[in-house]
Amino acid sequence: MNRVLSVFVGAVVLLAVVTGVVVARRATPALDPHTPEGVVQQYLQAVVAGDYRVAANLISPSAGCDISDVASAYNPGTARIVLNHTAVDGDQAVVTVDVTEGSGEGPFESTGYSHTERITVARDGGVWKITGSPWLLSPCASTKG
Amino acid sequence: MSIGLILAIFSILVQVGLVVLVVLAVRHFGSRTGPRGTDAGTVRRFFQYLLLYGLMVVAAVGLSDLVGLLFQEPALAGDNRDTLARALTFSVFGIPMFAVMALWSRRRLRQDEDEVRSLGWAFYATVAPLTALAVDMFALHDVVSAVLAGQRFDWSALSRFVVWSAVWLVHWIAAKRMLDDDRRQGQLVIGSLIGLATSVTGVVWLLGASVDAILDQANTVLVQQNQLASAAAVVVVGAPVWVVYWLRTLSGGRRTSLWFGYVLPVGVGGSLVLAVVGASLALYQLLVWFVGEPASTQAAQHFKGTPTAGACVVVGAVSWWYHRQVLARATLGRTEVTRVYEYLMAGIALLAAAVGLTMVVVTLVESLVPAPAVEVGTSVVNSLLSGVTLLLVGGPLWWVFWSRIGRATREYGPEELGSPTRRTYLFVLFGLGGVVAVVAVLVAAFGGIQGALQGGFDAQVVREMRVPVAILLATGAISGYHWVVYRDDRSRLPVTSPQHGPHYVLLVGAPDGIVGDAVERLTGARVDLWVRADGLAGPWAVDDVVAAVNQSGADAVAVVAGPAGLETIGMQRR
Repeated sequence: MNRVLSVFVGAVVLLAVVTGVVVARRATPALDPHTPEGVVQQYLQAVVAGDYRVAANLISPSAGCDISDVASAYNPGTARIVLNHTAVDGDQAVVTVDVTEGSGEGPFESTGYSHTERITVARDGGVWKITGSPWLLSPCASTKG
Repeated sequence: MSIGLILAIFSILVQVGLVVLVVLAVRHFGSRTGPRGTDAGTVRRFFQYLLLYGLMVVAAVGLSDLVGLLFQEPALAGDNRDTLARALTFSVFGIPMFAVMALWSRRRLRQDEDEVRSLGWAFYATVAPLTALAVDMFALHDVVSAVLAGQRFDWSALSRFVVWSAVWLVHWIAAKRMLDDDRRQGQLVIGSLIGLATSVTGVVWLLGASVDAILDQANTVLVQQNQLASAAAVVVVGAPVWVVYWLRTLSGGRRTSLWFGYVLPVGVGGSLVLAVVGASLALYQLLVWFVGEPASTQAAQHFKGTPTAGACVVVGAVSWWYHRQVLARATLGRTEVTRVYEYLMAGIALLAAAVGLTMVVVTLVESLVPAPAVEVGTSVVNSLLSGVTLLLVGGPLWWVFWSRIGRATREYGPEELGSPTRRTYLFVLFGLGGVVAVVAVLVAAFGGIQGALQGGFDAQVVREMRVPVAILLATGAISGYHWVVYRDDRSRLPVTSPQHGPHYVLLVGAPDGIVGDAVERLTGARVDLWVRADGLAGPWAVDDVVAAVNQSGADAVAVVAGPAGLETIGMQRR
């Protein structure tokens, strides 16, 4: 009986380790940068990495934002951002993402909170560019209105 | 710096103090029914089962997080490796530690009878399945509501549901096998309560939201499906819990005080309160619409909350009827549980009627002395109608229960008049009424004196004093009436002679949850019940035990129930 239980516990632990390895090695899929969600992905990756120059280059001139606005805007730091859906209407698109921000330092602390955000994108000269986001681009003219 | 140090020391002291308190409590409760030598074992069990519980939570959280991570959608940007680190730590270390601890505990449970009867094991076998049940219900709600609302499927909730369901099932079976029926009833009662409350909430919400959706269809610009989906999910979650815990298990269980405590005050009483509150709200809306001053001239707007109130009436009435049927099948004499239920209902109804009376008096003064300036947003008629509604609902309900109690006082005499529930009820009403009346007098006097000093005692000062004066009238009437009832009770109760019997009674015989309490109540002595290990115990008869105790002249007495009857042994301290 105890041996069966030991084997079972060992199998569960082994399975847990394998699952952990699979999850840890899973690469983030790179979306097509010529699509609204692709440009949003590039922008978010740049913001999270603190690469504000790359992020600023992805913003449309009509947004009224420059690199100083991007750098002074909110940076989520540790966050997990998942694509919810994309709504395209001609040269305009809204990309909705689910964000889980923050995490506790210890094992018994909270694993953060989740919220949904919308990022607007527009085609400018055949290239999709970020035009606004109340979440990440609040200092910009387009978001202020 | 120094404040931080003081806070840190204070926090450590508080934690140490809590541990000492818990240990003392466990030693106290653990040594009441067992031999003194088991104190160390009781403390050991407390920490053992607390650790087992903590490890169970850690292992289940780790496993469910890990499975959830496996199925989660790929991220656009950023990745939370801390969650993975926690899940791996909890799974790889938590699961083996829990398994070792569980195996050790199981071996002790099989070897030692005291372990099976211990408070620590009962605590674990009650709290662990209920924790799993609660997490399970939230997870299932997230899964079902997402599916019904057409949102993205919640894989992490599904993994939580699967893992915690397995945890619940294992603990449900373990408690069924290794915990005696009476001590398992705690888990069953709490589970039934959770199931009933969730199901009733879900059905009321679903009914109200459905009627709202149907009636409001013509005026609705945007149909909000989430309300209906969430309500339906609550029903889907609550109903199986109620079926498993109550319908299939507890409803056929032994009729203990705990069982009646669930069926009577919660099942019958709670349902009645729900129906009455719903009826009051619906009646108020109707009265305001036909007689009062409705805030909106559109019926759809005015009666917006009425479907939910109506749903409360329907669901409350069905639940009340069902629990009455259950109670009718269980033969129940007039016990303390019955009294708690009836006095509780009478008290709630009386409170509603008292608030109604207060509001009627307030609006009476308001109508006699109109406000000097136009008051926006207040309606004297609506206030009067809410007062009348509360009086109409609370008054007759109080009368129904109070007259039932009155019949019981005539039928049972001193047993009813001297019962602790009746005494508590009268003292609470008299005491609360007195406290509120004193505060009301002070507030009214302050208002009067302040007004007189500022500009003379005129009609406006009387108007300012309307609320405390109305409260004083209502509480004064309640307090006075119950003081008269209490004095009448005392005059009808036989004069009790001072107790001369033993101060301590040790009963040795068959296990019985009732005899100890009954002997304690009838003799006034402290009573302990020990079970005969040789299986030769005869059945207890309370009257015989009380007679045997009273005949003994000793200060402490042991009553042993054997095959030949009761044997009484006088005892004294060395």
